[in-house]
Amino acid sequence: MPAGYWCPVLHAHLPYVRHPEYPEFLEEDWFFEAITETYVPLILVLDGLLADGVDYRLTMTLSPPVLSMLQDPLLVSRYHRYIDRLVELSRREIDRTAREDARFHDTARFYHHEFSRIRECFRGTYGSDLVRAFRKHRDAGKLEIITCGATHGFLPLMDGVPQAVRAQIQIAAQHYRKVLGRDPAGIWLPECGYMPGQERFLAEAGIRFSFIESHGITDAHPRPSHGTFAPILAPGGVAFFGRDTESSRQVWSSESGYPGDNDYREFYKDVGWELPLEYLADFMPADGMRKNVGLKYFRITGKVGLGDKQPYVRAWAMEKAASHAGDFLQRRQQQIREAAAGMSQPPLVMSPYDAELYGHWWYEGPEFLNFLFRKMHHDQDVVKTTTPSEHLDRHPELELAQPPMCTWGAKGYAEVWLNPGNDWIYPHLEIAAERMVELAHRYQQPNDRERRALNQAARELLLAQSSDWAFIMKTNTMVEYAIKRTRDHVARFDYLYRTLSGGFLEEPILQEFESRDNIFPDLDYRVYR
Amino acid sequence: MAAKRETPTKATRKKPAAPRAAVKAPAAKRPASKPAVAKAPAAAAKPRKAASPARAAAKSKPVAAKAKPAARKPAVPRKKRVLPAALAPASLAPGLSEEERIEAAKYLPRDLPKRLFEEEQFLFPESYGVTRVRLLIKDPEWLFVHWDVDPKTLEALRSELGERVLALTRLTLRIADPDNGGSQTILLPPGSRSWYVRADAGRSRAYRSELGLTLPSGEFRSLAHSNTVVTPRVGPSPDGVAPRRRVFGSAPTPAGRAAQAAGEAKPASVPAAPVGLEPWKPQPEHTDAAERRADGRAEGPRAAPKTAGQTKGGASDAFTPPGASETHRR
Repeated sequence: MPAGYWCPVLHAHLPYVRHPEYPEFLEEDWFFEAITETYVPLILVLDGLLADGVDYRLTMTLSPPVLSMLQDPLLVSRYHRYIDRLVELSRREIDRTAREDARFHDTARFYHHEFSRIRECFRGTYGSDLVRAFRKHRDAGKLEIITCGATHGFLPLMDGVPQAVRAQIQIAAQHYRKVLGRDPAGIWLPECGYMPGQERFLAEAGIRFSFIESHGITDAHPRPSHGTFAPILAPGGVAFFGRDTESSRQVWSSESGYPGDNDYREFYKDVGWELPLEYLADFMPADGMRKNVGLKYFRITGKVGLGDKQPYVRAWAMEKAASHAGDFLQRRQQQIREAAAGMSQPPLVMSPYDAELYGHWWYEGPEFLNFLFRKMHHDQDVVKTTTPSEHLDRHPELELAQPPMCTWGAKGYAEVWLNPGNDWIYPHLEIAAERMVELAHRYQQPNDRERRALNQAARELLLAQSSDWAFIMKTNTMVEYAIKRTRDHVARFDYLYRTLSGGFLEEPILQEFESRDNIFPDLDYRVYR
Repeated sequence: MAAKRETPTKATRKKPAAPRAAVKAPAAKRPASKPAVAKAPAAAAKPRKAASPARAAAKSKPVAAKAKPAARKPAVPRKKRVLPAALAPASLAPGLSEEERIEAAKYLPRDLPKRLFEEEQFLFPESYGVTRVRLLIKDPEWLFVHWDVDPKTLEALRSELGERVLALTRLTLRIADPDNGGSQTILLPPGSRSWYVRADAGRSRAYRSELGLTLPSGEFRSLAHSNTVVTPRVGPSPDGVAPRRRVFGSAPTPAGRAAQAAGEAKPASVPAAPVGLEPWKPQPEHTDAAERRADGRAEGPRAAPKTAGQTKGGASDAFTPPGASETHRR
């Protein structure tokens, strides 16, 4: 029996971005980049572990928007175009670097091989359906897939309209059942946002566990005995696993954490911003803008300006990933041995990360996990990986405690999603949520068109509630787009509400909304009652 | 009075104006080849020089780990290049945590030239024609209050008191702890729609707000009450309540069964049948208010008790059991 357990959790989420009204849309690249740099590389790692008989456990959120996008025919077809172009660009880069800059030639060859392998995995192995791949690993008993809020709505700030909180949970659970064929055992609360009382909606959906930030456990009442080394049972019968600070910092921190190592790939230096535009013409938007294309030739190098970065050497980076995996394992062993001394059951270290941190941000992240799982399996018996469900089955006795409101954002509360840069959205979101509840009660026997309009109104509300928009407004990334999305969905909801409140609903407009914002085709507005 | 809404092209009373983009044309009819995106400024579109001039024909060294120490020496003279500002990490908002900076990398690029989106022509209403006030918790130290005042309310006041009195009337916010007493009053500036209110950071407390009007005479006229929120306690629970244990009731999951079958997990006491998960409530926490009451010390002025018909405050309210208001407090 191991001295303790490590429970890695990867949270895969992106907002629902799909623009059929444009032949190409810049923000759809977020999803394509995540497939190319995170989802497929992780699947390739898991495939390898399974083929080699490595016993591992991993928990992953596949948020409803991510699952929906992975199964959307338009986005899948656009991804084919994206990866085909990337393979072609990397092929051209082999020639160009051989001619012009040999320093990057090996890396160009590596990219061509990697992109070809990713395309083969996506198109060939899994028939353009990555959900199949995740299901395969779940069915093998290695991967636990959990759900999330329907559109990643930040639940603590929805507390004023409990039906809206409930709808986020219920719709997510229904979608999970439809796509993955089972009930979700666990949920990732969007942004780890927990508000006392909301766990009753989780319990109602049959959800057994979730995750919260460390202080959600350490500040719980009464005080849990073992801190984050053991889950607690909150009112309503939902278990909460607390985030382990030490293992989180080792990976999350770009300064003291592994991803900041000098040999790893530099994220901010992409050929999309450096090579001549005419050379990249096939890969850039038609209007002369530039964007990342995913070929990055430099390593972090050190604390130097971007112009002083040195060429990336894949072998060095791999060596570092293996070394960091060894270090991580050693630290977990030490941490668990120390924690186990005062506990009657093996301690559990729960480490949640954004899935996209692995691969997209930390390019070598998937290989780090690959090394780590193999080392844990082959080299030692002190720490074993586990999933929350497994842990609860194994240790069903929990301490009872009430966590306080908490999130995993800056300072541990709602500041990231509620500040002077984005607070203006909440009055509109709250009114829309209240109106949705009102519509759901008012329409007891709608005709077909009214039912479609009601369901579409719910979709617009859900899409407007995505916490990504407030996050983007706060972090100053694609603010213009975040405002556009908020405006679009609130406007469409407003239109539908007014047509359902005595106005005339125009069929072409309803069809247009249904075609654009097509998430959750089976949604039933009565969930808001 | 009608709320301020979008600019409809042909709005009629019975036919709500659709957001403009939707009215324009269905996607299929729209020229597909030309997205409505603004042209990038010429500077942004200007081709940059290739990454670096070709080096001598020297082929790259094999990337074996053994070659690393030698290969590390920078033999290649560097040509300084300036990365476009659009990609520089410094363009992120200041004050972000490391995790937020990393997470923000999902939403790149940023600082693009202004783009023209096809988007709904919609002005967010200044008022939805209802009088209401709502409270949200930002963190243990700050609350966020937002409100709406039905223009009809102000019209009625104008009729009753006259233009001059109305001009001197101030929208006012009162924040109170309905259980432990204490309150603060904020005279709001004209045109404001929301406000951040300082909370008692030292402990968890309940707050409720009341929106009203302060007339020139000093008279306060209440307009609406908000939901009640409870700020989170910071720090470990001071109460030395011995933790209780209880069987987590549920049958093993498929993943758990698979692990058990493989002989890895030997659950000591997994119940054969699911155990009831009836709602559980924590014991009331030790509170300053309770202590003061026990000591017989004076408390601050008490706010009026809740009455039927007041706005229900969501799950927070629902969770606080009547008569056990100290449940989450510290």
